[in-house]
Amino acid sequence: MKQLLIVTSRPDDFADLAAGLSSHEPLSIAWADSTAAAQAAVSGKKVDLAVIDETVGDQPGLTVARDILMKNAMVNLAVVSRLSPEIFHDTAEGLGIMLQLPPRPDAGQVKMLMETMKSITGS
Amino acid sequence: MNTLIAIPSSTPGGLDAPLGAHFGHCDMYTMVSVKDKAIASVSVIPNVPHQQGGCMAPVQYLAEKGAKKLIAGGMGFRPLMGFNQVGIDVYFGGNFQTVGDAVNALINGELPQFSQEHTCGGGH
Repeated sequence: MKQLLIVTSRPDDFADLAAGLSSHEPLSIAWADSTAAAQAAVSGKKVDLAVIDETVGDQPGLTVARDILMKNAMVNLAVVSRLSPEIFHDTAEGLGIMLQLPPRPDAGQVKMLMETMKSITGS
Repeated sequence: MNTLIAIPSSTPGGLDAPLGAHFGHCDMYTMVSVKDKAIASVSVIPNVPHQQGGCMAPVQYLAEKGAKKLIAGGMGFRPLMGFNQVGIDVYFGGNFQTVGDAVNALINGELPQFSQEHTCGGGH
């Protein structure tokens, strides 16, 4: 069963995404509302994917992504961002972000998330 | 005991090959086995496909090949963290033109450890 972590201060806005992902395949979903909580959730654990909000508390999502990678670089990352794809790509360079997500990701992003995961991990 | 060093390389690989400018996008890896501060053997292995978000594939690939050290001219933050996580020490070899020169510098203790300051991109 895949392990998913959703990092956000506004869980209601990610409920549709979580429900869509759960209906797509068996998943264990954990939630974190801060960098510290996210780091604790990935340290020494197998987490297949972390979906990170544009801002978490007062931290930019890409900063949270970097802080997660410092604890566990094996976690695949998807980050919400309003930046254009080109600027997002440049800004996130070096972090190995799997996918950029729109501001209110919902069930419509499920297929892309899962297909991208599969192309990277094979499962 | 032999230590296996992986060096991102340009075609055709080997000691005389240019050092690859950026880990992950190199043509191949030159694998150098070092024993008692001398080069014991040299081989070349292909790189693995690298797509956006898939930078852990070459990290795990080199770990499976038995690499214990890696010399890189450039690398992103995530693969650096990945190498640290799998126990491969990374060194900055950007000042050297060839694989052989970089390896000899490492053997002689002249290469700095690859730090976050060496990483590429806005993510650092």
